[in-house]
Amino acid sequence: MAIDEKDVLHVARLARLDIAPDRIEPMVRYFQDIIGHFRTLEKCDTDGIDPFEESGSHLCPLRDDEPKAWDSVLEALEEAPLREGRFFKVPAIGGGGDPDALS
Amino acid sequence: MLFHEMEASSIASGIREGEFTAKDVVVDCLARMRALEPVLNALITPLSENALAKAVGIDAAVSSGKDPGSLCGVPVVIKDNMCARGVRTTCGSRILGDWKPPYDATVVDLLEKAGAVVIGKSNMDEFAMGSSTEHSAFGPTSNPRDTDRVPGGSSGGSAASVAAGYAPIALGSDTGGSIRQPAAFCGIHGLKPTYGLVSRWGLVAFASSLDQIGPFARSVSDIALVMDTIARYDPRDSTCRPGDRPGYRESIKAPTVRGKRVGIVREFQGGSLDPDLGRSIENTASMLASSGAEIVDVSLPESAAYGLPCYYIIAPAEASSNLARFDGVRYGLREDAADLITQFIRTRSKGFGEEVQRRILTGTFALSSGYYDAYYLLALKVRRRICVEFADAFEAADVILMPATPSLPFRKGELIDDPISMYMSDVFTLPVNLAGLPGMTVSTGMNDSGLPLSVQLVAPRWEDSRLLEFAAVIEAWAGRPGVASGGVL
Amino acid sequence: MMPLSFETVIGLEVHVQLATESKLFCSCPTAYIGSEPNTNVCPACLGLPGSLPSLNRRALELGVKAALALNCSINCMTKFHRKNYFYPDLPKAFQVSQYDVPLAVSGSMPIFLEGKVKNINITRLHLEEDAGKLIHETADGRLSGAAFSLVDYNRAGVPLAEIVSEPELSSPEEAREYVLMIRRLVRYLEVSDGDMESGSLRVDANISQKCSDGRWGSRVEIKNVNSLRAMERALEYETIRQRGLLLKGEEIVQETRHWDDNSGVTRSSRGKEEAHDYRYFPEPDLPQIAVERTLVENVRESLPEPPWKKREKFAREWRLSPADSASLSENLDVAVFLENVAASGADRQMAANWVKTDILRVLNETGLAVGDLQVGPEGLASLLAHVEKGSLSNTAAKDVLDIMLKKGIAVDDAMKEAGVKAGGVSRESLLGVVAKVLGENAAETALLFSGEDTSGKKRKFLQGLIMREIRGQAAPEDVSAMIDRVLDEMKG
Ligand SMILES: [Zn+2]
Repeated sequence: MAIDEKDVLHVARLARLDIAPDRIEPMVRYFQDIIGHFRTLEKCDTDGIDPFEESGSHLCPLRDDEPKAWDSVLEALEEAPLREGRFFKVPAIGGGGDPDALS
Repeated sequence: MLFHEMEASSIASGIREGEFTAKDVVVDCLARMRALEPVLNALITPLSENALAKAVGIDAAVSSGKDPGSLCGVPVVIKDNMCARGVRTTCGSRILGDWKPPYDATVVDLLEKAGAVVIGKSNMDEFAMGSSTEHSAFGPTSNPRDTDRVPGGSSGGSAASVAAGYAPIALGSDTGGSIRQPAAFCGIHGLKPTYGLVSRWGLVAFASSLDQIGPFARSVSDIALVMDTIARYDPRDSTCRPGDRPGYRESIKAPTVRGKRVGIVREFQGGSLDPDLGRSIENTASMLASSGAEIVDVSLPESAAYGLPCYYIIAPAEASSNLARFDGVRYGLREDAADLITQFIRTRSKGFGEEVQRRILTGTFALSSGYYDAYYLLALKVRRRICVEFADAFEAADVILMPATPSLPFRKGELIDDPISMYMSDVFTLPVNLAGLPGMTVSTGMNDSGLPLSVQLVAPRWEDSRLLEFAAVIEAWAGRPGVASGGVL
Repeated sequence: MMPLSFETVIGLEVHVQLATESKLFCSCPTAYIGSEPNTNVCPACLGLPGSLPSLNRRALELGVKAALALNCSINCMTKFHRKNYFYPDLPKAFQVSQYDVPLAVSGSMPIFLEGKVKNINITRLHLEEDAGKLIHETADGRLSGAAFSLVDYNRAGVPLAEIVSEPELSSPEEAREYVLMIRRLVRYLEVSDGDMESGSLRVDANISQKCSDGRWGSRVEIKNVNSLRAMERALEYETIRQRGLLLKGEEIVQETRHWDDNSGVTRSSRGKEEAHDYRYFPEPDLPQIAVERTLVENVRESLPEPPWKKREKFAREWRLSPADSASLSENLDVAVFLENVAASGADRQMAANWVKTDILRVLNETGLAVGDLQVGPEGLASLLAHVEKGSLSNTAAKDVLDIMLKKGIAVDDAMKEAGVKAGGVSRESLLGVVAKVLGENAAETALLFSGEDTSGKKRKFLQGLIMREIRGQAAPEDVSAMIDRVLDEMKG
């Protein structure tokens, strides 16, 4: 499948990135090159392989349910580029709410 | 005394025994750093004042009879993707602005508790994406062995710092070769531990399933010393394996390779491999054979054929998700906009450099609807095959001996506009990350042009101490790497 | 031509906030309600660079508990995925959730409607982290047209269980019963407080229409329903909207629609379809989770009988009315209290009546939980034993119960305090009181005497006065008989 400008711009939109007009063409070419490399994987015999097997790694440890307050919250808040009191502040969401939001 | 040429272990014991002070050591290393930084640009944030204050504190502790720990007064450099509380952490990017993490990475905490003195945060390819330390928002780092050349990357600043004598040890992170490749280019040792051996808490993630923190040093025993300090179970990192770690210094007390099987990878010899590096493998193998090891052939055809594309799907995919949080809301750079989506796009487009954007886009693509199965899922399957292939190879060999890099350090600017050729630098290192194995670059001296030679050792999971034992034998033969001139004669 | 008819098909996703002390992937306290903004936060739930998740064992246990109660199969190996999307309330720009290997699958739960039981299949139950909260700010405080939003991450990372039903609900009423049963269940299990108003229980609904001519309308997802009422209204609205479109021969767009509670309509959030590419992939920061057999068995042993079992038992075995079976099984503690009253020897129907009227009344009035009452099931049973024997009238018993509830004393002491005696008044004193009351109320007595009190009202009145006089220490039949005897004597 050939990757074109439309595909690259769609991916950029998903990634919340803006590709400068003069960088679009090189990026499309890069995508075509790298996807060419990716496609060599199709030659690998992967029949019957469980992609999610985690051989050699341990199981997820479980933490006890003991609440602990973090003592450096203010330091973290001070890093906010835009803040109002203890709130982080962001410009309004355009277009009346995002369907992606968790309900 | 030239403290900046000393090993960490000698510095620590000298300070503990009152032969000299931590302040003497730190002052000397800082002077070295100040002299070479204009040429090398190995550090993003030097921490001279903090370091001096810490050294004075250590001296006070020693004189009052306390033992500050195994790294008592030892200067260290930390790659700038590890959080140190209150110290600017940039990941070589503009997007973090002047972010001062409100917490310490576990490794930083462990080093400081052992008495180490952090003298600077080192330069790196932005978000550890690169093999030359040219992709840094803070300018490129030069190779102290030849300042026209790159130090490798992405932990180029840490490697250059140790090679140039700013500090005897440094920490780097390795996702596809980012410790082993710059160690090779800068002519020092560098270890990427088994995935899960060292805590990643506080390491700004590039690709979570591949990232691992490890040490650089000019001696194998210093590598072991750092490992004894940082290889600890940490419940804050769920991928960190529970349980005790072996004593790494213990494992190199009487190193021997007698009766061990050393695997040479057929597919990784010859071809486009630099002949000097090829010879380095051969010479090392002969030496090991004459020291009682058995040399065997092993085969890693799938790692050779598929490692690179497999890695360049999985790592960017994870990165695209890990780097999505940089949106100008909670920390770092924020580009103003009237609406939120525009703020996100402007902030990210301005904050991330080109290579990072390229990888975020590649990773987003590989995970996106319609391509997930064709690329990401397929890459996961190939990764399983590579794991199995290594496991099979370790049926025949105790350790694999192979090149760390296909080439000697390349010149600055040589590959900057050819990303895919740049990716090839990691062809020998990234399969090791894909399989979660420990890998180590061991310096084997210089070629006739004064450029560093090296070999890479790979062991089965959790057999990091076996690597150190082999490395100690190689070092005894090839000699310990010295401090580089750093372009200043 | 036959007129077209429709079947409504509804599936629900219920998000239940799990009652843990700490968050799903970090140790921050979960008590976000009433906290100052951004107080219960740490590097992990703020998504600070370098932070990593560590899984809360209790959240896993509570998920297993709900799953077992819903008759699900537990996946002994489960894992988390990342759901990627940008939104300021999502600090890492991905939500850690479960995808292809959820904690549990294939369960079922009955609901009761109009005297019938319907079994609803449960597709899956999975764990995920909650997002933070966005507060929209304008100069005049209105929500729409806000220039800025404020973000509070106290809720970010609070554990949720998402329970997904099969599309087997056929009306808004059934959907309501389903949500109510889930709420009852999670409260029984103490898995969640199930409070919809505070957001501990949230519902997304999928609804479509099947037309008698064979057409099947696309599925529409409804979000932003913040109460049961809103959910019902939204589903009713969508039913009408979708049927209208099908009747006109139009297509139904598969989409997400937001319920606007003020104007009573659902609105399309079209044009954002590209944002729905969540790029799920396995969370590399969390290895696979083994749900150990011992954990499952321990949780299984701690499971109470579920609300639908209690309800069926009250109706079938105890032969209580459907309404009583429902109200007495609403709350686990009340149901268990009732069972214990009966187990202590009280008649089931009588125990049910007393718990329903007296105990529930007190609970409603005081806001106490059953466990807080000064009277235990044995205490109530011993009181009811007196009533059953006839040694205490209902009225007197209620007075005694009041004292028991107030003072926390045993039934005998409460009777003493109320001035009543076990065994009741002697026949002589009852005779004396009856004679006295009849004498004092000559007019009423005369009507009784002459047989003019056909409605029995006067007799009831007199009987009441007598009961008050003797503090209810006689059975009403005995009092009535004594009145007849005195009247006879007057005739005699
Ligand atoms: Zn937290």
